[in-house]
Formats: sequence, structure tokens, C-alpha cells
Amino acid sequence: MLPPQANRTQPLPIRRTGLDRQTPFGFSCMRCLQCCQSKKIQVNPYEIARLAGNLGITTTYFIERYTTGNGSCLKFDDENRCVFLGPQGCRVHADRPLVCRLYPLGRHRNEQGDEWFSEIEPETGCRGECDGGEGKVENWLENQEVRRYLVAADSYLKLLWEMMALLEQGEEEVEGAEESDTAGIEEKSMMENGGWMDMDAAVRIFCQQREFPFPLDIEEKMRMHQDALQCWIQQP
Amino acid sequence: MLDTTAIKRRNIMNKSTKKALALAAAVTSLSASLGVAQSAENWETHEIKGGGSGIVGPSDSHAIKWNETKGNSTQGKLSNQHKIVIEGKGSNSVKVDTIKSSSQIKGANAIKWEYKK
Repeated sequence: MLPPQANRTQPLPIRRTGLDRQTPFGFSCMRCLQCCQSKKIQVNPYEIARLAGNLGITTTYFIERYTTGNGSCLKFDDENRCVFLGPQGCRVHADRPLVCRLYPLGRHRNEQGDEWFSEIEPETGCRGECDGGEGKVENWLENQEVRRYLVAADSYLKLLWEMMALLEQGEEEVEGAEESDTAGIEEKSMMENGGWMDMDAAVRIFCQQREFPFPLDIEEKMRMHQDALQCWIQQP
Repeated sequence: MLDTTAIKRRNIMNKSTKKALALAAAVTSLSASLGVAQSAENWETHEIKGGGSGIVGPSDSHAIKWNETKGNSTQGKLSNQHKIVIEGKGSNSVKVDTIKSSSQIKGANAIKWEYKK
């Protein structure tokens, strides 16, 4: 059944919406690369860590070099092409972000845990074809290997909604709060200056403060990043 | 003579808004990275840079900001060819490329996106 939220105005040029994982769907990409231009490609901290790992650099450097909006979106060049689009296509394809994997689908998720999908209107000049085969949305997701990306997006979403709830409590509680000494000065300073999107930096400080070993596995690093954020938002 | 009242007032302001601003900044960035209320773009820059007596704190912008941001996550490739529509500000809707100042949205009923096709 179509979630009620699906009836609202969506921030996507949508061909059809309210799709679930069992809805018939298929798409044949012709690699015309039209969808890598004139787009806004959002990247969460997990996706940044994957991309940085692909390039062999830190998330700190990746954010500075390849993103806009404090690490929330990939940069586009002067011709409005994705910064990772090369002559042969995507230069980071193995670790491409979720939205690139989903295209031409969009995924919606609300606080109640509902999930639904939309089929985005194709780009002008897109040579890809939506086919009417036997495939379903869930097959598309499997083929695009999105499972870890969805886990990451949902876990960061949960944190986001916690932060929003905290803000909605009003500034009175913040005003009366004493400074907490449970975190180091460096940790608090970084968090308060917006550096928390930088997974490597946040986890490094979190580990140093608690004498934990720095995790090398990206999934483990993400969990520690989320622990660090959780600690920070719970502090008065 | 040192104006201690002003300093005290500024310190109280900093203390009372520090956490809220840090949280707001975090929410704004994470919202954008997860496709929640893309219209929140530029809020962080705006809020942080607006420090001082004219600071845009939760009391100023909460209603619109959180009505907008406590939305759904939309994970999809978005067009970056867009306009932001600020509705209900005065008698007309206003279309802008980015939100750079609180005065642009103060008193508005809704902020929506309009995409070029």
C-alpha cells in the first residue's frame, strides 16, 4: 500500500511512486553517462569512507577535495559533471554512492520505518530503457549490491532523528546545562565545529580519548563513528 | 572601562546556543547527506556565520526549519537544476537559488523545491 507520505510533493522528478520491493521493475543502462551530469549526489559518512578507501586517502582529505556542503554532496566540475566521471565512466564505480546504485530509482524512508521507491524521470538524452521483464525492485537492489549502503543510511537516519528530537526539546535545557567533562576538549571542539562528518577524524579522537584501537574495517569504523556521535549528542 | 555586562551577556549567549547550534549544524549536514529536506541547504553556514546578537537560533527558525527537516529521507539522484520556492512570505511566493539569510525565510509558511525538467 502506498504510504501516506508518498502522496506529498516529492523532491524528485518522478514517473511513478509508491513502489515496494515486490513491484516489477527493470532497467537496461546503456552507459550514456547522462545521469552523472547536472545532479546532486548526496553522500553520507559511510559512503565517504568507502570512496576515500577506494582512492586510498583519508576521509578528511576526501571531504576537503571532493565534496561540498560540509561533506554532504559530491563536487561537480565547471561543466556540471560529477568529479569522478572519467572518459571510461565512473572512476570509483566499485564504491559508488547509494544514489548512483539506485538510479533510476529513488528510495524513501520515514521515521515509522516505512520504505518505498520511486522511479525517476529519465534524463534528457538518457539511452537507458526501463523494461517490462520479470525483474522486481528487490532484484535491482541485489544486483546493485546496496545492502550495506541501506544499513548505513538507516542507522545514520536514526541518529539524525534523535538529533532532531533533541533540538525540538527547545533551548531551555541547553541553556541550563553545565559543561560536561566526559569528553576531551579536542573531541568537543571538533564536534562543535562540524568536523563530526569526517569519520576518520571523529573516530581517531574517539579512540584516543578511550584508548581504543583505531578500526581498519569500514563497517566497524562506521559503528564507532555512530557511537562517537551518540556520545556527543547525549552530552548536555 | 570594561563592559562586563556585555561580556557576561555574550558568554551566556554563547553557552546557551553553543550546543543547539552545533546540533543544528550536525542535523543540517546529515540531513543533506541522507536526502532529508534538501531545502535545508546552506543553513549551517548561515547559522554559524550569523553569530553574535543577531544570531539565528532555534527560537527564530525552529518552526520552519523543523517542519521541513523532520521529513522523510529521499535517497535518489537529484537534479541540481532547481529553484527554492519560499511560500507564504507576504502575499507572494519567492523563488531563489539558495537560502543565505534568515530574512529570506522568516515568516514563510513553507519551503519547497522546484526542479527544471
